Amino acid sequence: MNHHFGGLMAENRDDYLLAGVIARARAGDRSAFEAIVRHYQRRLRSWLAVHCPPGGDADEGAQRTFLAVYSRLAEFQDGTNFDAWLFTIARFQLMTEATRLRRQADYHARFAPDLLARELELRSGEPDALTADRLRHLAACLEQVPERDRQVLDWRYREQLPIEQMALRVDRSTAAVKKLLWVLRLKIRECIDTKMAEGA
Amino acid sequence: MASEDRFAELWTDNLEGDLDTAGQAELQALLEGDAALRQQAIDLLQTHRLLGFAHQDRVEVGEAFVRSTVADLPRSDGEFVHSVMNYIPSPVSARRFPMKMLAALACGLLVGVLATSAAWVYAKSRSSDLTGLGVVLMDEGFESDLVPAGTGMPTQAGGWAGDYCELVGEHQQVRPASGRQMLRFLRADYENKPNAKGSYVSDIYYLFDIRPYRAKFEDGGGVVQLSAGFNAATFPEYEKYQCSISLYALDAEMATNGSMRSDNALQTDSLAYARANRLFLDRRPETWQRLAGELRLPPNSDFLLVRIGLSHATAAQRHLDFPGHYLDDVRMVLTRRSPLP
Repeated sequence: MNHHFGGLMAENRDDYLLAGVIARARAGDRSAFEAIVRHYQRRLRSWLAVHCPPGGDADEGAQRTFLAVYSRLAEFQDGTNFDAWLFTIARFQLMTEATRLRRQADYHARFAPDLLARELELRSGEPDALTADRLRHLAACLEQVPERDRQVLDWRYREQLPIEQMALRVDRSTAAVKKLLWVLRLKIRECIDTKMAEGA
Repeated sequence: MASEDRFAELWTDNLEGDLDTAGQAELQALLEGDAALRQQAIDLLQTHRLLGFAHQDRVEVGEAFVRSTVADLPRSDGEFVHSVMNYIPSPVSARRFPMKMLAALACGLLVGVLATSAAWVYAKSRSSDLTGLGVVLMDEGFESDLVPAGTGMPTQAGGWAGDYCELVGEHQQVRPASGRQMLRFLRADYENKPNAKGSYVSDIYYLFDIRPYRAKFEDGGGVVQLSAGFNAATFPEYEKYQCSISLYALDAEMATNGSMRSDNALQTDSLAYARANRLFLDRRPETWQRLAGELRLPPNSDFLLVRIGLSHATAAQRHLDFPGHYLDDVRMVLTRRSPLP
Protein backbone atom coordinates (compact mmCIF):
# COMPACT_ATOMS: atom_id res chain seq x y z
CA MET A 1 0.00 0.00 0.00
CA ASN A 2 1.26 3.47 -0.84
CA HIS A 3 1.68 6.08 1.83
CA HIS A 4 2.03 9.65 0.75
CA PHE A 5 0.12 11.64 3.26
CA GLY A 6 1.60 15.07 3.65
CA GLY A 7 4.81 13.80 2.19
CA LEU A 8 5.30 11.64 5.24
CA MET A 9 6.01 7.94 5.06
CA ALA A 10 4.67 5.30 7.36
CA GLU A 11 4.97 1.55 7.58
CA ASN A 12 1.23 1.11 7.94
CA ARG A 13 -1.64 3.34 7.17
CA ASP A 14 -2.20 5.63 10.03
CA ASP A 15 -5.72 6.82 10.67
CA TYR A 16 -4.38 9.55 12.86
CA LEU A 17 -2.22 10.82 10.04
CA LEU A 18 -5.14 10.56 7.63
CA ALA A 19 -7.34 12.58 9.94
CA GLY A 20 -4.70 15.27 10.02
CA VAL A 21 -4.40 15.35 6.25
CA ILE A 22 -8.18 15.55 5.88
CA ALA A 23 -8.27 18.42 8.33
CA ARG A 24 -5.60 20.28 6.37
CA ALA A 25 -7.41 19.64 3.08
CA ARG A 26 -10.66 20.82 4.61
CA ALA A 27 -8.92 24.01 5.64
CA GLY A 28 -8.02 24.63 2.00
CA ASP A 29 -4.56 23.04 1.81
CA ARG A 30 -4.43 21.79 -1.78
CA SER A 31 -1.22 19.87 -1.22
CA ALA A 32 -2.97 17.88 1.50
CA PHE A 33 -5.76 17.01 -0.88
CA GLU A 34 -3.18 16.07 -3.51
CA ALA A 35 -1.79 13.59 -0.98
CA ILE A 36 -5.26 12.10 -0.60
CA VAL A 37 -5.65 11.79 -4.38
CA ARG A 38 -2.22 10.22 -4.69
CA HIS A 39 -3.01 7.73 -1.96
CA TYR A 40 -6.39 6.59 -3.28
CA GLN A 41 -6.08 7.02 -7.05
CA ARG A 42 -4.91 3.54 -7.95
CA ARG A 43 -7.53 1.84 -5.84
CA LEU A 44 -10.31 4.04 -7.12
CA ARG A 45 -9.27 3.94 -10.77
CA SER A 46 -8.98 0.16 -10.81
CA TRP A 47 -12.38 -0.19 -9.14
CA LEU A 48 -13.98 2.15 -11.66
CA ALA A 49 -12.21 0.47 -14.57
CA VAL A 50 -13.86 -2.78 -13.59
CA HIS A 51 -17.31 -1.36 -12.87
CA CYS A 52 -17.88 1.53 -15.26
CA PRO A 53 -20.75 0.95 -17.72
CA PRO A 54 -20.07 0.33 -21.41
CA GLY A 55 -19.34 3.68 -22.99
CA GLY A 56 -18.31 5.11 -19.63
CA ASP A 57 -14.94 6.57 -18.84
CA ALA A 58 -13.27 5.21 -15.73
CA ASP A 59 -10.70 7.93 -15.16
CA GLU A 60 -13.23 10.68 -15.83
CA GLY A 61 -15.35 9.04 -13.15
CA ALA A 62 -12.39 8.94 -10.80
CA GLN A 63 -11.73 12.63 -11.36
CA ARG A 64 -15.35 13.55 -10.79
CA THR A 65 -15.29 11.50 -7.61
CA PHE A 66 -12.26 13.35 -6.26
CA LEU A 67 -13.79 16.68 -7.21
CA ALA A 68 -16.96 15.74 -5.35
CA VAL A 69 -14.93 14.59 -2.35
CA TYR A 70 -13.05 17.88 -2.37
CA SER A 71 -16.21 19.94 -2.45
CA ARG A 72 -17.86 17.88 0.28
CA LEU A 73 -14.99 17.48 2.71
CA ALA A 74 -16.84 19.59 5.23
CA GLU A 75 -19.54 16.91 5.35
CA PHE A 76 -17.15 14.14 6.30
CA GLN A 77 -17.57 13.21 9.95
CA ASP A 78 -14.30 12.85 11.79
CA GLY A 79 -13.78 9.42 13.23
CA THR A 80 -15.86 7.65 10.59
CA ASN A 81 -14.51 5.51 7.77
CA PHE A 82 -13.05 7.79 5.08
CA ASP A 83 -12.55 4.90 2.63
CA ALA A 84 -16.20 3.93 2.83
CA TRP A 85 -17.26 7.55 2.45
CA LEU A 86 -15.09 8.03 -0.64
CA PHE A 87 -16.35 4.87 -2.32
CA THR A 88 -19.95 5.79 -1.53
CA ILE A 89 -19.37 8.96 -3.50
CA ALA A 90 -17.74 6.91 -6.27
CA ARG A 91 -20.78 4.62 -6.46
CA PHE A 92 -22.99 7.65 -6.72
CA GLN A 93 -20.85 8.95 -9.58
CA LEU A 94 -21.13 5.57 -11.28
CA MET A 95 -24.93 5.61 -11.01
CA THR A 96 -25.04 9.13 -12.36
CA GLU A 97 -22.89 8.11 -15.32
CA ALA A 98 -25.04 5.04 -16.02
CA THR A 99 -28.16 7.20 -15.94
CA ARG A 100 -26.58 9.74 -18.27
CA LEU A 101 -25.67 7.01 -20.75
CA ARG A 102 -29.13 5.45 -20.60
CA ARG A 103 -30.64 8.79 -21.49
CA GLN A 104 -28.67 8.95 -24.70
CA ALA A 105 -31.11 8.53 -27.55
CA ASP A 106 -29.43 5.54 -29.17
CA TYR A 107 -28.09 3.79 -26.09
CA HIS A 108 -30.75 1.06 -26.15
CA ALA A 109 -30.42 0.61 -29.89
CA ARG A 110 -26.73 -0.19 -29.68
CA PHE A 111 -25.23 -3.47 -28.59
CA ALA A 112 -26.76 -4.63 -25.31
CA PRO A 113 -25.18 -1.86 -23.27
CA ASP A 114 -28.15 -1.57 -20.99
CA LEU A 115 -28.15 -5.28 -20.10
CA LEU A 116 -24.49 -5.16 -19.27
CA ALA A 117 -24.65 -1.82 -17.48
CA ARG A 118 -27.29 -3.17 -15.13
CA GLU A 119 -25.23 -6.24 -14.36
CA LEU A 120 -22.19 -4.10 -13.70
CA GLU A 121 -24.23 -1.81 -11.48
CA LEU A 122 -25.26 -4.79 -9.36
CA ARG A 123 -21.65 -5.81 -8.96
CA SER A 124 -20.61 -2.33 -7.95
CA GLY A 125 -22.26 -3.02 -4.61
CA GLU A 126 -19.47 -5.43 -3.74
CA PRO A 127 -16.81 -4.17 -1.33
CA ASP A 128 -14.14 -2.26 -3.21
CA ALA A 129 -11.49 -4.38 -1.54
CA LEU A 130 -12.53 -7.25 -3.82
CA THR A 131 -11.21 -5.37 -6.84
CA ALA A 132 -7.90 -4.81 -5.09
CA ASP A 133 -7.78 -8.53 -4.28
CA ARG A 134 -8.54 -9.43 -7.88
CA LEU A 135 -5.82 -7.12 -9.12
CA ARG A 136 -3.37 -8.74 -6.72
CA HIS A 137 -4.42 -12.25 -7.75
CA LEU A 138 -4.22 -11.26 -11.40
CA ALA A 139 -0.51 -10.60 -11.00
CA ALA A 140 -0.03 -14.09 -9.55
CA CYS A 141 -2.19 -15.66 -12.25
CA LEU A 142 -0.22 -13.95 -15.00
CA GLU A 143 2.93 -15.58 -13.66
CA GLN A 144 1.33 -18.95 -14.33
CA VAL A 145 0.67 -18.09 -17.98
CA PRO A 146 3.31 -19.56 -20.32
CA GLU A 147 5.87 -17.00 -21.47
CA ARG A 148 4.74 -17.07 -25.09
CA ASP A 149 1.12 -16.43 -24.18
CA ARG A 150 2.11 -13.74 -21.71
CA GLN A 151 3.87 -12.01 -24.56
CA VAL A 152 0.61 -11.99 -26.51
CA LEU A 153 -1.19 -10.40 -23.55
CA ASP A 154 1.57 -7.84 -23.32
CA TRP A 155 1.18 -6.95 -26.99
CA ARG A 156 -2.57 -6.67 -26.59
CA TYR A 157 -2.77 -4.72 -23.35
CA ARG A 158 0.52 -2.87 -22.98
CA GLU A 159 1.47 -2.15 -26.58
CA GLN A 160 -2.16 -2.01 -27.78
CA LEU A 161 -1.24 -3.81 -30.96
CA PRO A 162 -4.02 -4.61 -33.43
CA ILE A 163 -4.87 -8.29 -33.75
CA GLU A 164 -3.47 -8.31 -37.27
CA GLN A 165 -0.04 -7.21 -36.04
CA MET A 166 -0.09 -9.80 -33.29
CA ALA A 167 -1.02 -12.48 -35.81
CA LEU A 168 1.97 -11.49 -37.95
CA ARG A 169 4.30 -11.65 -34.99
CA VAL A 170 3.25 -15.16 -34.01
CA ASP A 171 2.72 -16.29 -37.61
CA ARG A 172 -0.87 -17.37 -36.97
CA SER A 173 -4.25 -16.33 -38.32
CA THR A 174 -6.21 -13.49 -36.71
CA ALA A 175 -8.90 -16.02 -35.81
CA ALA A 176 -6.32 -18.09 -33.98
CA VAL A 177 -5.10 -15.06 -32.03
CA LYS A 178 -8.66 -14.14 -31.08
CA LYS A 179 -9.26 -17.70 -29.94
CA LEU A 180 -6.09 -17.57 -27.88
CA LEU A 181 -7.20 -14.31 -26.24
CA TRP A 182 -10.58 -15.87 -25.42
CA VAL A 183 -8.92 -18.88 -23.81
CA LEU A 184 -6.42 -16.77 -21.89
CA ARG A 185 -9.14 -14.47 -20.51
CA LEU A 186 -11.18 -17.52 -19.45
CA LYS A 187 -8.23 -19.17 -17.73
CA ILE A 188 -7.18 -15.97 -15.99
CA ARG A 189 -10.71 -15.39 -14.76
CA GLU A 190 -10.89 -18.96 -13.43
CA CYS A 191 -7.52 -18.58 -11.78
CA ILE A 192 -8.58 -15.35 -10.07
CA ASP A 193 -11.85 -16.89 -8.92
CA THR A 194 -10.00 -19.89 -7.50
CA LYS A 195 -7.63 -17.68 -5.55
CA MET A 196 -10.51 -15.53 -4.32
CA ALA A 197 -12.28 -18.68 -3.08
CA GLU A 198 -9.11 -19.91 -1.37
CA GLY A 199 -8.72 -16.54 0.29
CA ALA A 200 -12.30 -16.58 1.49
CA MET B 1 -21.42 -24.34 -34.58
CA ALA B 2 -22.36 -24.68 -30.91
CA SER B 3 -23.78 -21.52 -29.40
CA GLU B 4 -20.95 -21.42 -26.84
CA ASP B 5 -18.36 -21.36 -29.58
CA ARG B 6 -20.31 -18.74 -31.45
CA PHE B 7 -20.59 -16.66 -28.29
CA ALA B 8 -16.81 -16.93 -27.83
CA GLU B 9 -16.30 -15.53 -31.31
CA LEU B 10 -18.84 -12.76 -30.95
CA TRP B 11 -17.75 -11.67 -27.51
CA THR B 12 -14.10 -11.60 -28.47
CA ASP B 13 -14.94 -9.56 -31.55
CA ASN B 14 -16.88 -7.20 -29.32
CA LEU B 15 -13.97 -6.73 -26.94
CA GLU B 16 -11.65 -6.14 -29.88
CA GLY B 17 -14.00 -3.62 -31.50
CA ASP B 18 -14.49 -5.87 -34.53
CA LEU B 19 -18.19 -6.66 -34.14
CA ASP B 20 -20.32 -5.62 -37.12
CA THR B 21 -24.02 -4.74 -37.02
CA ALA B 22 -25.19 -8.27 -37.78
CA GLY B 23 -22.87 -9.60 -35.10
CA GLN B 24 -24.21 -7.10 -32.60
CA ALA B 25 -27.77 -8.26 -33.22
CA GLU B 26 -26.76 -11.90 -32.94
CA LEU B 27 -24.89 -11.28 -29.71
CA GLN B 28 -27.74 -9.28 -28.27
CA ALA B 29 -30.14 -12.16 -28.97
CA LEU B 30 -27.80 -14.65 -27.31
CA LEU B 31 -27.39 -12.51 -24.22
CA GLU B 32 -31.04 -11.68 -23.84
CA GLY B 33 -32.00 -15.33 -23.76
CA ASP B 34 -29.36 -16.66 -21.41
CA ALA B 35 -28.66 -15.25 -17.95
CA ALA B 36 -25.63 -17.51 -17.46
CA LEU B 37 -24.13 -16.20 -20.68
CA ARG B 38 -24.66 -12.64 -19.48
CA GLN B 39 -22.77 -13.44 -16.31
CA GLN B 40 -19.94 -14.96 -18.30
CA ALA B 41 -19.88 -11.92 -20.56
CA ILE B 42 -19.58 -9.63 -17.57
CA ASP B 43 -16.93 -11.85 -16.00
CA LEU B 44 -14.84 -11.65 -19.14
CA LEU B 45 -15.47 -7.94 -19.63
CA GLN B 46 -14.21 -7.27 -16.11
CA THR B 47 -11.22 -9.54 -16.62
CA HIS B 48 -10.46 -7.73 -19.88
CA ARG B 49 -10.59 -4.36 -18.13
CA LEU B 50 -8.53 -5.63 -15.22
CA LEU B 51 -5.89 -6.83 -17.68
CA GLY B 52 -5.96 -3.44 -19.37
CA PHE B 53 -5.54 -1.64 -16.08
CA ALA B 54 -2.78 -3.96 -14.85
CA HIS B 55 -0.76 -3.61 -18.05
CA GLN B 56 -0.91 0.19 -17.90
CA ASP B 57 -0.47 0.38 -14.14
CA ARG B 58 2.67 2.50 -14.03
CA VAL B 59 3.84 5.14 -11.63
CA GLU B 60 3.89 7.83 -14.31
CA VAL B 61 0.29 7.09 -15.33
CA GLY B 62 -0.87 7.42 -11.73
CA GLU B 63 1.15 10.58 -11.30
CA ALA B 64 -0.34 12.08 -14.47
CA PHE B 65 -3.78 11.34 -13.05
CA VAL B 66 -2.91 13.07 -9.78
CA ARG B 67 -1.59 16.17 -11.54
CA SER B 68 -4.57 16.32 -13.83
CA THR B 69 -7.04 15.92 -10.97
CA VAL B 70 -5.38 18.51 -8.76
CA ALA B 71 -5.24 20.95 -11.65
CA ASP B 72 -9.02 20.56 -11.91
CA LEU B 73 -9.71 21.50 -8.31
CA PRO B 74 -11.74 24.67 -8.07
CA ARG B 75 -9.71 27.54 -6.75
CA SER B 76 -12.58 29.39 -5.22
CA ASP B 77 -16.22 28.86 -4.33
CA GLY B 78 -17.25 30.89 -7.34
CA GLU B 79 -15.23 28.73 -9.70
CA PHE B 80 -16.64 25.57 -8.16
CA VAL B 81 -20.25 26.71 -8.58
CA HIS B 82 -19.45 27.66 -12.16
CA SER B 83 -17.94 24.27 -12.96
CA VAL B 84 -20.81 22.32 -11.43
CA MET B 85 -23.58 24.45 -12.88
CA ASN B 86 -22.14 24.53 -16.37
CA TYR B 87 -20.29 21.22 -16.56
CA ILE B 88 -18.68 22.04 -19.87
CA PRO B 89 -15.03 22.05 -20.81
CA SER B 90 -13.44 25.22 -19.60
CA PRO B 91 -9.95 26.40 -18.78
CA VAL B 92 -10.45 24.95 -15.31
CA SER B 93 -11.17 21.48 -16.64
CA ALA B 94 -8.76 21.55 -19.55
CA ARG B 95 -6.33 19.14 -17.97
CA ARG B 96 -8.98 16.49 -17.89
CA PHE B 97 -8.47 15.74 -21.55
CA PRO B 98 -5.47 13.45 -21.18
CA MET B 99 -7.57 11.34 -18.86
CA LYS B 100 -9.58 10.23 -21.85
CA MET B 101 -6.50 8.50 -23.05
CA LEU B 102 -5.63 7.03 -19.68
CA ALA B 103 -9.14 5.72 -19.26
CA ALA B 104 -9.07 4.14 -22.66
CA LEU B 105 -5.79 2.49 -21.86
CA ALA B 106 -7.17 1.26 -18.58
CA CYS B 107 -10.02 -0.39 -20.42
CA GLY B 108 -7.68 -1.85 -23.00
CA LEU B 109 -9.24 0.29 -25.65
CA LEU B 110 -7.95 3.16 -27.69
CA VAL B 111 -10.93 3.42 -29.98
CA GLY B 112 -12.23 6.95 -30.21
CA VAL B 113 -9.10 8.55 -28.86
CA LEU B 114 -6.72 8.04 -31.71
CA ALA B 115 -8.05 7.57 -35.18
CA THR B 116 -6.33 5.08 -37.44
CA SER B 117 -5.67 5.90 -41.02
CA ALA B 118 -8.62 3.76 -42.06
CA ALA B 119 -11.00 5.85 -39.98
CA TRP B 120 -9.45 9.13 -40.95
CA VAL B 121 -11.63 11.71 -42.62
CA TYR B 122 -9.63 14.64 -43.81
CA ALA B 123 -10.91 18.02 -44.85
CA LYS B 124 -10.73 17.95 -48.60
CA SER B 125 -9.77 21.54 -49.22
CA ARG B 126 -6.04 21.99 -48.97
CA SER B 127 -5.89 25.35 -50.59
CA SER B 128 -8.22 27.53 -48.57
CA ASP B 129 -7.24 28.90 -45.22
CA LEU B 130 -10.70 28.65 -43.84
CA THR B 131 -13.37 26.28 -45.05
CA GLY B 132 -16.59 24.99 -43.65
CA LEU B 133 -14.68 21.88 -42.68
CA GLY B 134 -11.98 23.59 -40.71
CA VAL B 135 -8.84 25.67 -40.76
CA VAL B 136 -5.90 24.13 -42.57
CA LEU B 137 -3.03 24.71 -40.16
CA MET B 138 -0.40 22.81 -42.09
CA ASP B 139 0.02 21.26 -45.50
CA GLU B 140 3.67 20.32 -45.56
CA GLY B 141 5.24 18.71 -48.58
CA PHE B 142 8.85 19.69 -47.72
CA GLU B 143 9.16 21.51 -51.02
CA SER B 144 11.21 24.44 -49.72
CA ASP B 145 14.96 24.22 -49.40
CA LEU B 146 14.83 24.91 -45.69
CA VAL B 147 16.36 21.82 -44.11
CA PRO B 148 14.97 21.10 -40.63
CA ALA B 149 17.45 22.09 -37.93
CA GLY B 150 19.20 19.20 -36.23
CA THR B 151 18.98 20.93 -32.89
CA GLY B 152 16.37 18.92 -31.05
CA MET B 153 12.96 20.08 -29.97
CA PRO B 154 12.29 23.70 -30.93
CA THR B 155 11.35 26.38 -28.43
CA GLN B 156 10.35 28.92 -31.05
CA ALA B 157 7.27 28.60 -33.20
CA GLY B 158 7.58 27.97 -36.93
CA GLY B 159 9.93 25.65 -38.76
CA TRP B 160 10.82 22.02 -38.33
CA ALA B 161 13.57 20.91 -35.99
CA GLY B 162 14.60 17.75 -34.22
CA ASP B 163 16.96 14.90 -34.96
CA TYR B 164 19.23 14.89 -37.98
CA CYS B 165 17.38 14.59 -41.26
CA GLU B 166 17.60 15.88 -44.82
CA LEU B 167 15.36 16.83 -47.72
CA VAL B 168 15.71 14.68 -50.81
CA GLY B 169 14.07 14.02 -54.14
CA GLU B 170 13.42 10.49 -55.40
CA HIS B 171 15.83 8.31 -53.48
CA GLN B 172 16.39 4.57 -53.04
CA GLN B 173 13.44 3.87 -55.35
CA VAL B 174 11.16 5.92 -53.12
CA ARG B 175 9.33 8.77 -54.83
CA PRO B 176 7.91 11.72 -52.89
CA ALA B 177 4.22 11.27 -52.09
CA SER B 178 3.67 14.60 -53.80
CA GLY B 179 5.84 17.35 -55.26
CA ARG B 180 9.58 17.08 -55.76
CA GLN B 181 10.89 16.48 -52.27
CA MET B 182 10.35 14.56 -49.06
CA LEU B 183 12.04 14.41 -45.68
CA ARG B 184 14.49 11.62 -45.00
CA PHE B 185 15.10 10.51 -41.41
CA LEU B 186 18.84 10.10 -40.88
CA ARG B 187 19.64 9.62 -37.24
CA ALA B 188 18.14 9.29 -33.77
CA ASP B 189 20.15 12.13 -32.31
CA TYR B 190 20.77 15.82 -32.80
CA GLU B 191 23.56 18.28 -32.23
CA ASN B 192 24.95 17.96 -28.71
CA LYS B 193 22.20 15.62 -27.65
CA PRO B 194 22.92 14.44 -24.12
CA ASN B 195 23.19 10.66 -23.73
CA ALA B 196 22.75 10.16 -27.45
CA LYS B 197 24.27 6.72 -27.33
CA GLY B 198 21.48 4.18 -27.27
CA SER B 199 18.95 6.44 -29.00
CA TYR B 200 16.86 4.59 -31.53
CA VAL B 201 13.94 6.94 -32.22
CA SER B 202 14.27 9.72 -34.76
CA ASP B 203 11.89 12.59 -33.97
CA ILE B 204 11.05 15.69 -35.93
CA TYR B 205 9.04 18.52 -34.36
CA TYR B 206 7.07 21.59 -35.32
CA LEU B 207 5.97 24.13 -32.74
CA PHE B 208 2.80 25.88 -33.83
CA ASP B 209 1.40 29.07 -32.29
CA ILE B 210 -2.31 28.35 -31.99
CA ARG B 211 -3.27 31.58 -30.23
CA PRO B 212 -4.46 33.39 -33.38
CA TYR B 213 -7.13 30.68 -33.72
CA ARG B 214 -8.34 30.81 -30.13
CA ALA B 215 -11.84 31.89 -31.15
CA LYS B 216 -12.17 28.50 -32.85
CA PHE B 217 -11.55 26.45 -29.73
CA GLU B 218 -12.09 28.58 -26.66
CA ASP B 219 -15.42 26.87 -25.94
CA GLY B 220 -13.79 23.43 -25.86
CA GLY B 221 -15.13 22.43 -29.28
CA GLY B 222 -11.88 22.64 -31.23
CA VAL B 223 -10.25 19.44 -32.49
CA VAL B 224 -6.90 19.28 -34.25
CA GLN B 225 -6.44 16.46 -36.74
CA LEU B 226 -3.01 15.45 -37.91
CA SER B 227 -1.92 12.96 -40.54
CA ALA B 228 1.41 12.11 -42.14
CA GLY B 229 2.72 9.82 -44.86
CA PHE B 230 5.58 7.38 -44.25
CA ASN B 231 7.60 5.19 -46.58
CA ALA B 232 10.83 3.20 -46.61
CA ALA B 233 13.27 1.66 -49.00
CA THR B 234 13.27 -2.12 -48.89
CA PHE B 235 14.72 -3.46 -45.68
CA PRO B 236 15.49 -6.96 -44.36
CA GLU B 237 12.74 -9.27 -43.12
CA TYR B 238 14.13 -9.34 -39.61
CA GLU B 239 13.93 -5.58 -39.19
CA LYS B 240 10.83 -3.63 -38.14
CA TYR B 241 10.19 0.08 -38.09
CA GLN B 242 7.38 1.78 -36.24
CA CYS B 243 5.99 5.25 -36.94
CA SER B 244 4.34 7.60 -34.52
CA ILE B 245 2.67 10.97 -34.51
CA SER B 246 1.89 12.99 -31.40
CA LEU B 247 0.17 16.26 -30.61
CA TYR B 248 0.79 18.18 -27.40
CA ALA B 249 -1.21 21.21 -26.33
CA LEU B 250 1.01 23.56 -24.34
CA ASP B 251 0.73 26.81 -22.50
CA ALA B 252 3.11 29.58 -23.55
CA GLU B 253 5.45 29.17 -20.64
CA MET B 254 6.06 25.49 -21.17
CA ALA B 255 6.37 25.87 -24.92
CA THR B 256 9.17 28.36 -24.70
CA ASN B 257 11.11 27.69 -21.50
CA GLY B 258 12.68 24.44 -22.68
CA SER B 259 11.16 22.28 -19.93
CA MET B 260 9.28 20.21 -22.50
CA ARG B 261 12.51 18.74 -23.76
CA SER B 262 11.93 16.00 -21.23
CA ASP B 263 9.56 13.23 -22.36
CA ASN B 264 8.12 12.99 -18.89
CA ALA B 265 7.46 16.72 -18.78
CA LEU B 266 5.66 16.59 -22.10
CA GLN B 267 3.34 13.89 -20.89
CA THR B 268 2.72 15.22 -17.43
CA ASP B 269 2.82 18.97 -17.93
CA SER B 270 1.22 19.42 -21.33
CA LEU B 271 -2.39 20.56 -21.17
CA ALA B 272 -3.40 17.55 -23.25
CA TYR B 273 -1.76 15.13 -25.61
CA ALA B 274 -2.57 12.37 -28.07
CA ARG B 275 -0.40 9.83 -29.79
CA ALA B 276 -0.87 7.28 -32.54
CA ASN B 277 1.80 4.70 -33.16
CA ARG B 278 0.17 1.64 -34.61
CA LEU B 279 1.85 1.89 -37.98
CA PHE B 280 4.63 -0.50 -38.94
CA LEU B 281 6.32 0.15 -42.26
CA ASP B 282 5.87 -2.37 -45.03
CA ARG B 283 8.60 -3.24 -47.52
CA ARG B 284 7.01 -1.64 -50.55
CA PRO B 285 8.74 1.58 -51.60
CA GLU B 286 6.02 2.22 -54.15
CA THR B 287 3.32 2.81 -51.53
CA TRP B 288 2.99 5.44 -48.84
CA GLN B 289 1.36 4.55 -45.54
CA ARG B 290 -0.57 7.15 -43.57
CA LEU B 291 -0.93 7.57 -39.85
CA ALA B 292 -3.46 9.91 -38.31
CA GLY B 293 -4.67 11.10 -34.94
CA GLU B 294 -6.52 13.91 -33.31
CA LEU B 295 -6.55 16.00 -30.16
CA ARG B 296 -9.36 18.00 -28.63
CA LEU B 297 -7.81 21.33 -27.76
CA PRO B 298 -8.10 22.57 -24.19
CA PRO B 299 -9.41 26.15 -24.31
CA ASN B 300 -6.29 27.55 -22.66
CA SER B 301 -3.87 26.12 -25.24
CA ASP B 302 -1.29 28.56 -26.56
CA PHE B 303 0.91 26.29 -28.67
CA LEU B 304 0.69 22.94 -30.37
CA LEU B 305 3.74 20.74 -30.58
CA VAL B 306 3.70 18.30 -33.48
CA ARG B 307 5.99 15.35 -33.06
CA ILE B 308 6.59 12.77 -35.76
CA GLY B 309 8.80 9.83 -34.99
CA LEU B 310 10.30 6.72 -36.47
CA SER B 311 11.83 3.99 -34.35
CA HIS B 312 13.69 0.74 -34.62
CA ALA B 313 10.92 -1.55 -33.39
CA THR B 314 12.95 -4.50 -32.18
CA ALA B 315 15.61 -4.40 -29.51
CA ALA B 316 18.09 -6.33 -31.64
CA GLN B 317 18.25 -3.75 -34.41
CA ARG B 318 18.35 -0.60 -32.31
CA HIS B 319 20.97 1.88 -33.41
CA LEU B 320 21.33 5.56 -34.25
CA ASP B 321 21.04 5.41 -38.02
CA PHE B 322 18.11 4.99 -40.36
CA PRO B 323 19.08 3.63 -43.75
CA GLY B 324 16.14 4.76 -45.92
CA HIS B 325 13.03 6.13 -44.23
CA TYR B 326 10.89 8.99 -45.41
CA LEU B 327 8.14 11.42 -44.41
CA ASP B 328 5.90 13.47 -46.68
CA ASP B 329 2.50 15.16 -46.87
CA VAL B 330 2.02 16.23 -43.28
CA ARG B 331 -1.40 17.77 -42.87
CA MET B 332 -3.01 19.40 -39.89
CA VAL B 333 -6.51 20.84 -39.63
CA LEU B 334 -8.35 22.63 -36.86
CA THR B 335 -11.93 21.53 -37.02
CA ARG B 336 -15.02 21.76 -34.85
CA ARG B 337 -16.93 19.21 -32.84
CA SER B 338 -19.63 19.61 -30.22
CA PRO B 339 -18.18 20.57 -26.85
CA LEU B 340 -18.07 17.63 -24.45
CA PRO B 341 -21.24 17.15 -22.39
